[in-house]
Amino acid sequence: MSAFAAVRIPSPTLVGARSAGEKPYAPFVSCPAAHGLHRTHLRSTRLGRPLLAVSSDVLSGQKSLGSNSSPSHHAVVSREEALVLYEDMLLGRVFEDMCAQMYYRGKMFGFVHLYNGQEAISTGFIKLLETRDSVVSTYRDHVHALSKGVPARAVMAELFGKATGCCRGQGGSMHMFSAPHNLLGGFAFIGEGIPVATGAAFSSKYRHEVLKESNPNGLDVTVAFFGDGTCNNGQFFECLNMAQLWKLPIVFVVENNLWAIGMSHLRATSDPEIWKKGPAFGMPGVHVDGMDVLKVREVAVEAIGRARSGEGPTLVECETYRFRGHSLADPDELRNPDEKAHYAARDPIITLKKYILENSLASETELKAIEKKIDELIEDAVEFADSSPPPPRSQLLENVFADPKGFGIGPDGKYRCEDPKFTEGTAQIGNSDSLENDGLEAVKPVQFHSKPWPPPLLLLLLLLLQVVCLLCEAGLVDLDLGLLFLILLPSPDEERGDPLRSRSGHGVLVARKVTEGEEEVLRASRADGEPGGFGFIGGGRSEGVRFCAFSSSRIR
Amino acid sequence: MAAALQTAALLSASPNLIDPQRYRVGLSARSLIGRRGSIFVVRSDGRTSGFFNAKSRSGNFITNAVATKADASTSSTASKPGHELLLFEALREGLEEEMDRDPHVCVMGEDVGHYGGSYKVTKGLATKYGDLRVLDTPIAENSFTGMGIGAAMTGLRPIVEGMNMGFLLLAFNQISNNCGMLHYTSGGQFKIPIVIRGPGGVGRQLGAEHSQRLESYFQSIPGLQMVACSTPYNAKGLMKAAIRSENPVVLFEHVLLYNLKERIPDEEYVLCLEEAEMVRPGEHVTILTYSRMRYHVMQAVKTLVNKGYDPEVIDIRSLKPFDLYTIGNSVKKTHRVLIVEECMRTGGIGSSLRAAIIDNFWDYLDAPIMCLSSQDVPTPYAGTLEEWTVVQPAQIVAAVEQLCQ
Repeated sequence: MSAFAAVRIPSPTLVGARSAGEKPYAPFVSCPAAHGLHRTHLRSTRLGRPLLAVSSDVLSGQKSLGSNSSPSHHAVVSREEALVLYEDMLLGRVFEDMCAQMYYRGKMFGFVHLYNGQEAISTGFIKLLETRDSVVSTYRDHVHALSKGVPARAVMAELFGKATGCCRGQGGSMHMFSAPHNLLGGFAFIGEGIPVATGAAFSSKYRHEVLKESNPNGLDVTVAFFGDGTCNNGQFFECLNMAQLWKLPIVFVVENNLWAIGMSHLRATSDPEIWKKGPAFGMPGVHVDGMDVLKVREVAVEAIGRARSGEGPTLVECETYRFRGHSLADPDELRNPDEKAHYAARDPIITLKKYILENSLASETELKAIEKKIDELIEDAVEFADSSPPPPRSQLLENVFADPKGFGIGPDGKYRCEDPKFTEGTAQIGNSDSLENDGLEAVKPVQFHSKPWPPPLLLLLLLLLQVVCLLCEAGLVDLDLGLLFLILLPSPDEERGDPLRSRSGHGVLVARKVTEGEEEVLRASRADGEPGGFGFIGGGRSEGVRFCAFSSSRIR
Repeated sequence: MAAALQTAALLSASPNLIDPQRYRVGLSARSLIGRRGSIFVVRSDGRTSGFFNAKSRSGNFITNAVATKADASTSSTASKPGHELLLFEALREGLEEEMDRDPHVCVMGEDVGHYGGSYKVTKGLATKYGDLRVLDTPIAENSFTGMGIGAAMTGLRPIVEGMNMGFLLLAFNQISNNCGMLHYTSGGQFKIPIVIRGPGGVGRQLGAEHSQRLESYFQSIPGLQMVACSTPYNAKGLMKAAIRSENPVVLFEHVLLYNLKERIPDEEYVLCLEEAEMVRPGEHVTILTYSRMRYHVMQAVKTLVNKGYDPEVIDIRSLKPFDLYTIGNSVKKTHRVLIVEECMRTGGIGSSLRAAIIDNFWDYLDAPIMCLSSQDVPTPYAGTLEEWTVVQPAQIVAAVEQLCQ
């Protein structure tokens, strides 16, 4: 069919694996026996056949617009399960739509990547996980967070940049983390999260084998989500290798939506069938229709079960599509409208709704009730986020180090973090420690070697000297001071236009005896007839320090 | 070369450094097994911080906190305290003690397991702890560093070894984005108690790419701590401190210092990550240095002392953050600063240190701060050219003379 010729892959060996008796293509079929861990029984209905390549409608060239394949190929879902899936996908969709609204209203900024159309993958996988299992995502992580159980309020507040967000407003759209839900991020660079997911899986294996902490249900599983563009990145391949090498309990889920911003998957990849790269590393590779939550779930049960029982990783390629652009800043001009229409007709939520109604798992009213509930939940989340406070200034430095001793030891010998006012400054810790204002001046005020005298005291002293000199003149006191008073004032702050007041307001009084040569000068510079007293000789500025020289001597 | 360095190391610890006022609380290794958190962190001026366990105050008091010359001991007893070992063995000892103490501590890197480490720092550990705790990774620095970070986030305390520090350039993505930032972007939810270590610096004609100094590249990464070890004593102490720290720490070792021999205490000790080390107190000039350059400085000091100068030498140890207290006290005393580093001139540790000193201690300076760094040149292979790339003792002597005019 394909209005978009790009996706037709003329591979003769790819056969639809619908019929039970057919030999599957995937070379790596059987899994070694579990290492002492019994298989989990997550679902009552398990497929007897081993994991193999499940062809999608597109790959096999069949056209099926909006119709589900025969129910016999779907694991039977119970009513409760179906409603859980429906609600979760709806939550993701309505949330993302609200995000778009809020973005255009100026409530959130930056790069926001929406998940519309891909909900089946998030719901299909994450709803099978337990809380102890970890999820690692990319920048398109809002719905992964919601599926894992992070409250919509926390996610929305994080997007608004409020202190009540799941990451205190410090992460934003691309860095959703939640320790209680084991959501390990949220990564802005593609491929960055895959090694972290591998590390979490390594931890799980380590806890079991080295620390001997075992769970009767099996290992903690890690599910790593990433896109088709990432599958050309080195970290992807390096981690496939390591995960299979050490049989780590991880599932690599490729959300192949065929586009990496404006780069078509087929223009970027030599062999576009990503699932084939699994067997190249020795692990099963599966391709599944990512627009059908039940098919995804069927594969997920198997893959998660393998990981949990210690059989190792699986690579699952989910063929999916994003209904919106790459991000809210993407004009989305490159994609063919026919392609978009094709996938819009396979909307996972509509598909599941149809399935539920066709199989009488729930009534229209019940589904409507769920829709209403989700709408209210999202409205509440927006209200909560709106009314939440933004992070205070003091929060800026709080989470830079887990152990704030890492900020180091200040010039006073104490750890900087011991100063309670420290977090109110900025992170320019190499420069200045004390900041009186907003941190715009990173330089400490100039200080002098000797003890500084405050201006009022200086003026008082000058006054006193004046009085003494007057007394000398009047003859009441016969005192040959012969002293040169040099008063050093810090350079006035020109910008503030205040000639007398410096930034620090400190001044220094230096007094020393007048030397012979200076006396000559002083005598010469005095106005005639003046017997003595207090006189201003001169002033000036040198090296940024203004000085005024006063002579107080009775020069005879 | 190693012999020269050893001699320099021994001479650097001259007897006048033993200050009876300084003490250290130590606890015997045996009593520590199974007892967590009973170690004091001792600051270089003798103050202790009872961060871990305030109750364990009764310990053995040792009078010397700095290694003494092995052949010029004042005591005539045959058995001296402590045991002698090489720097790489000290690192291994520290690593082993921490792995014994906490089963969450694990090592990962290329050839750390069966091969024992390219510089034998992890020799024997794989046999003792198993292949999972001392993990031989494939050659994928970015990914296994990221794996270490993911493991750290989920409860382990990994030590990632870069076979050569230069290889960690491949891991820069993970070190900068995840290691440094993740604690912050997650709003404090996840901590990354990882140690990234490896040998760096200019070696013996190793060529440009194996002679890199990454400390200048990493210093801007917020959330990261960097330390550089230079003696067996501080290597072991810093290794242990780094492993126990909740922050990500990059521990810089130097290829040419692995065979330094020193006598270190038998008792367990942990050094402070944020502190600098006073190598030689003095009056005329403050020389700030770290890692291998410490030995070039001490060699120059011999000449300077003969010429009548009295330099104060500080091994800054903590490259990020700087210990401005020790440095500041020294600047206030001597008023002259010379920085000797192996980093490149441009954007190196010296530049940052200069800026920090100018900002904080401007008034105490009587002369411009001098900084001797390596040439801004890819380290050449030829021995003569390589010698001219790094700072040599003669240049240090000339710089001090110029500074003290």
